[in-house]
Amino acid sequence: MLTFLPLFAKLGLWFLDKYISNAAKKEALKKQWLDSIEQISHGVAESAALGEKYYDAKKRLDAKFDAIKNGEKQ
Amino acid sequence: MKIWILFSIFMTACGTAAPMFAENPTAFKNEATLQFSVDGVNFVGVAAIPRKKSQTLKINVGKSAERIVINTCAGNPTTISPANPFVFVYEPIHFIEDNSEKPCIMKIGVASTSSLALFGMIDFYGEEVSMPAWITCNRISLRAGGASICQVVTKATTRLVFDEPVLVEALDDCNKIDCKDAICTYEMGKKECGYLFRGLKSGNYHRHTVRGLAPLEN
Repeated sequence: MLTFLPLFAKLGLWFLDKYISNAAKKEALKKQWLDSIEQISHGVAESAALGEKYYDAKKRLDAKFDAIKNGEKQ
Repeated sequence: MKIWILFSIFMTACGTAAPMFAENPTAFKNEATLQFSVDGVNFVGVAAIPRKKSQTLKINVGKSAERIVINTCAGNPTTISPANPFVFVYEPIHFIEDNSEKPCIMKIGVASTSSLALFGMIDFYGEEVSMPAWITCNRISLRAGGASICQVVTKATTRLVFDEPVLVEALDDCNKIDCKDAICTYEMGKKECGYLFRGLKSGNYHRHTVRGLAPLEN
């Protein structure tokens, strides 16, 4: 039995190494996945910002409109 | 024999301690349009709909949906493991989500365990925008009310035809828009964008939002 001990030890080390590398790979995938979730949240988290941009655009548009209308009156 | 037993215990322990995240998640390489209905009317990707006090959204999130994010100016509620279809009653919060000065465009994102992310966008518009237009978007022409949304691929040209000459203002970072009297055209850039029009005769407004269909950058 003792003759096979080094072989078992090697096998054990091989499985351990494989387990660690799989775990690292899964961790990396999990991080990638969470980043993607974050990306989605960020992608949809700009509704208020879009509203602000439209608000600024409206002010510029109204100024342009008023200038034309005032020009027409003169 | 003892070694075999020890070895078996060792391997069992390894198996038990394996990470629980055993699915096969990948980053979102692509995005797709979301299918949904508002009060029973079906839409794909985007919609511009007159605002009501209460509207029922039925969102087709797919079988592998992990979470859904519905963003408005009032918040960013997220639901984990949503049912398919995901049913949501939208009641705009007064002064925040029905603000006539600052539009509140709803954005919907669905993350699934596949490599696909689904996006949708809805402009629930009110009386602040009332100038209609003919919109030619993705080679399809339709008559829009006070607001419109177009979802197109990068560099596609969109055309808007109004009933009267208009003035236009683009939001920051938007592609240039060319308007000649009542006809306006622009080429879609990579990003989300928007244009606000005002009729020179009526003084009424039209809000046009555009979202690109470019793949996500991963």
